[in-house]
Amino acid sequence: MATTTIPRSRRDAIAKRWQRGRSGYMFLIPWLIGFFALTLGPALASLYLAFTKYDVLTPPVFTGLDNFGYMFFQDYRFRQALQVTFTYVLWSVPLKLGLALLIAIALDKGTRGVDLYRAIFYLPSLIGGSVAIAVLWRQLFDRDGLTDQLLQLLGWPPGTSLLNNPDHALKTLIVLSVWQFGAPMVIFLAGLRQIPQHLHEAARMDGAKTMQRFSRITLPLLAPVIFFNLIMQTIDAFKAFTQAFVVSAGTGGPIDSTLFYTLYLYQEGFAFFRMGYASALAWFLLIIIAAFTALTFLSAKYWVHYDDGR
Amino acid sequence: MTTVAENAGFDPYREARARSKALKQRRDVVRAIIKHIVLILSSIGMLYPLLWLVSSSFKPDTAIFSDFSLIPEAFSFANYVNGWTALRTSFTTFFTNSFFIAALAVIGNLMACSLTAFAFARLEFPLKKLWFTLMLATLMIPYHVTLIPQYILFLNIGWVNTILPLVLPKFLATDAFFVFLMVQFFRGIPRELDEAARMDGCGPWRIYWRIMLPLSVPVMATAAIFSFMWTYDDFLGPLIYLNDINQYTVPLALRTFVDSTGVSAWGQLFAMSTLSLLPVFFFFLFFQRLIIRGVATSAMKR
Amino acid sequence: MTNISRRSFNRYLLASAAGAAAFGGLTGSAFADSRLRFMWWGNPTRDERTNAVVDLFESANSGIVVDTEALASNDYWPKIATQAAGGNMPDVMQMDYRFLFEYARRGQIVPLDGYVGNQIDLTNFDPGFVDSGRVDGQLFGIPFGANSPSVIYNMTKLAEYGVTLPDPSWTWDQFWDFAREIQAAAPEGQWAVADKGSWEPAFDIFLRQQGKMLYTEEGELGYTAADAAEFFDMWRVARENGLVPPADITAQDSDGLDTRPISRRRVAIDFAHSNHLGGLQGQNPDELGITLFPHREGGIPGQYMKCATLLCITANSQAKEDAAQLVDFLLTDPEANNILRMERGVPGDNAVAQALLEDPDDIERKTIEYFEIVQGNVSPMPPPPPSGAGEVEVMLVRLYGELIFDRLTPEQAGERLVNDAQTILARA
Repeated sequence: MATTTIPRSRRDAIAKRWQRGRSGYMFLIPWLIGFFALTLGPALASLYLAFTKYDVLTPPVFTGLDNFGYMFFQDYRFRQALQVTFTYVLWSVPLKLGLALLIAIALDKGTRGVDLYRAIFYLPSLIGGSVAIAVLWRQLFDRDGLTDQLLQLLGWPPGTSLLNNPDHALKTLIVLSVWQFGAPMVIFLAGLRQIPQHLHEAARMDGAKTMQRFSRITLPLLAPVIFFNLIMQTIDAFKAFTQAFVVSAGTGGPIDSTLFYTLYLYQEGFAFFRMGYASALAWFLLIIIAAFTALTFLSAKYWVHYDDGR
Repeated sequence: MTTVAENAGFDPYREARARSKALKQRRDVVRAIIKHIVLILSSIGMLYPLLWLVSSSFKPDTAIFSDFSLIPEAFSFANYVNGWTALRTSFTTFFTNSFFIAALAVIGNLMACSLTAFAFARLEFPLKKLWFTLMLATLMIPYHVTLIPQYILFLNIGWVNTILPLVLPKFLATDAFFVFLMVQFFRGIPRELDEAARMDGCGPWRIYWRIMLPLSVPVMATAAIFSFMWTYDDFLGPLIYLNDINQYTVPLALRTFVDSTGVSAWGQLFAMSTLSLLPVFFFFLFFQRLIIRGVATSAMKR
Repeated sequence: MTNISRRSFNRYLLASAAGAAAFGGLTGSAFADSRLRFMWWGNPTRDERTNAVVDLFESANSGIVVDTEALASNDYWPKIATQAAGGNMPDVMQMDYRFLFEYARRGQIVPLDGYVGNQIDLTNFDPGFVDSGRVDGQLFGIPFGANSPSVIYNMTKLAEYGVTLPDPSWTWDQFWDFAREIQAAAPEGQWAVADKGSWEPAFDIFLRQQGKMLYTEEGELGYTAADAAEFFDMWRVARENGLVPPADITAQDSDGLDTRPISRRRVAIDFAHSNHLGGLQGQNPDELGITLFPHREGGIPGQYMKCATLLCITANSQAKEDAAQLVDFLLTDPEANNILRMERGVPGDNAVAQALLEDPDDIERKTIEYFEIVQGNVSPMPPPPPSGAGEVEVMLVRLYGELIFDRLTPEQAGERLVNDAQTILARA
């Protein structure tokens, strides 16, 4: 009945919108199922656990804000874990992205054997968090390892161990992360491929130098991909776990110098039976990551432009 | 174009131009050589640890940590032969399991994530912004938090000790990374293409299937590479969900080589680690070609 | 969330679950009368031997099928904790003494007293040894091999240096004198003794020699900051005299036997649990020996026998009696133990241990000889540790790290240890 008062054209528009809306939801069905069943449900369960004392072996007991009180006012390992993680994020993300972009541009095209080079540069990322990494890192950065030998050639006294020195251990993990730059490199490569070749040629005709073409064409057109990599690598770096877990045998040592946030969370939850506290830690990490991601998204307005006009 | 200009009558600078061209060519050759030298040197630098791993896999255990050289004094395949059957089940099974799970993960991620990404990148529907934000938010949740609730869920369905908890989520687009990746690329495809198709009466399905997918080969190849490798590398999921050694994946099997209470067979570990790298290496070599080929199409259409 | 989702999921997804089971490819006979799961952590040798014994058990008990799973200990505990949360633990599990009390007091493992004398035969066990598996009076775990903290030394190196190991009744002063003797003969880059000030069993023994202990019967700390500082100071003196390796080598020392200073061939003397002798020997081309901890002048013996690991039956097991039968087989069957040997420590069943003595290998002979000396020098087991004790152990390692990297003095480290330990115990 009310429909009669709405003009026909507007009614059509609404119908059309819902029609399109329906197909939108059709496409989303798998994701929606996964989201509610496998992500939101478990995440809400862990949100509840964050306000409990839950030792995994017996049912959780509600304790209000106790976990957060302890976290913010008493737990010095929590503060250490935050510091380690922030240091790691601030160093590893820019270095890794910079190196990935540099190599991606060098390997974009025009070099003989480019396929093989790419695969070679990707190799370190293939090994991921394999148990073999622990041994490799000892061989590289421990006393009598490769760095020790190299430093001796430069006149250092023998017996340098970067890996087992609390002042340097984190650096070796940053190196590990930068070394595994394959994922952003591949994404940069795919992005570079989408930059129309004729733009470069036109610029070259106009006499633009390599650096100019890089800053005027490559960078702006690559901005969406850089943005994507920046977000993903930042989130990943905050969540970094496996490598530190493998290299320090799960301890985060020496003396907590590589105690990544998630490593601490894992120790609390799975080694010390404090799943409630671990959940509280996890939710706080989520808030930190969300804040960083939101900031990056806000900044995108000023440097990322999409082709489709958004 | 230049040839036409060169042939057009008398050119007083012809000789000079030819000389500068030859010079330029020589400069290009020198540049290419330098580039290759730099690339080769940096490859070796990058690869040293891995080369050491491979070379150690040919050495006896006692020589591994005392010997820095990359070329073993004597090649021995003993570590490979013994390592392959060192555990109760042979590595044939572990590799088969790993490939099977990783292949299913690739299929699941490509299908489910591209559907989801298409909806976010191209379709309009109520609450889209909210869903998109939530999708991004799922990226940020540390895995360890949802581990126990998820485990309880799968246990109650009766899926623990099957590969379903490892594979099924991929068919439900739970890897937000790939959704986000595809959204970013779909947005980069000019809108005029699907606007035009829409004018011709194409529905969203046909636009997705006929326009977006063919233009997205690079990003699909990228997603395939990552899905394969990350699933292949993952150990926490298989560790928690698989109880039977006949269902173990390669990384899980490798972890049982290292132990804290007895002898560690380093040589065998290295040999099996080397073997575990080979398939992914070739997988990468192959799929990255798709990235390049796909590009040609999408770049031309611009 | 579990109860609601459990029911609805069961209803709606029953069909898919059945498909899943077929899809996942359940192995073995689905028609066995009883199906058990048995999990342990270990190493390839242990896995091979234990699996062989399980096969033997299956052929002796035709109605029972046992699914086994072996993991590295770093992976074992997270998996067990996850399974515990879901009520899906294996029927029989290998247990670490450290965690026995956590699992027992929280009802995840069951008392075995009812099975003793029925399925499980402990007649050949020392009652005192069996008691180490008791929690609040009930038997929750049966010791699967005995061990004791010990001194492990590199025989080849000592011979090379031309020094002779003193009598096992040595005191700490004699121990450090001997260390000086070794150090004088050792080349550069080699040290006499591993720096084990972070190893809780060493601290425990040091305290017990003075009549103190880590934890009292009431579950409180049994020592003061000054006691801890005294222990730390002993190591500081050794460090300053160059008898123990520098901080980075000590910092590398972790759970893995390959990271121990003796395995990295840095020291002539290290400390370890006696059942690790075989594992450490496997890391080392030189010949290793084993002897007692140094004593305190005029003090009492500090060492005691403990169980290396225990066997437990979980509360969620559907076939506890069959599980008990498996436990008994693992502990007392002569044929089974001839396969298992002493890889998990000296068997608690004396008849079984005697049988192994008939043809011991080199490591077994050394271990048995060592045990004969220990037996005359032991004091009773300490009271069970309170909840949170495992975390205090981790805290000790961390604080000791700060000490060796000169960020804390022994006195400060002692204070911090006591404070932090009290916080942890209060939170547990």
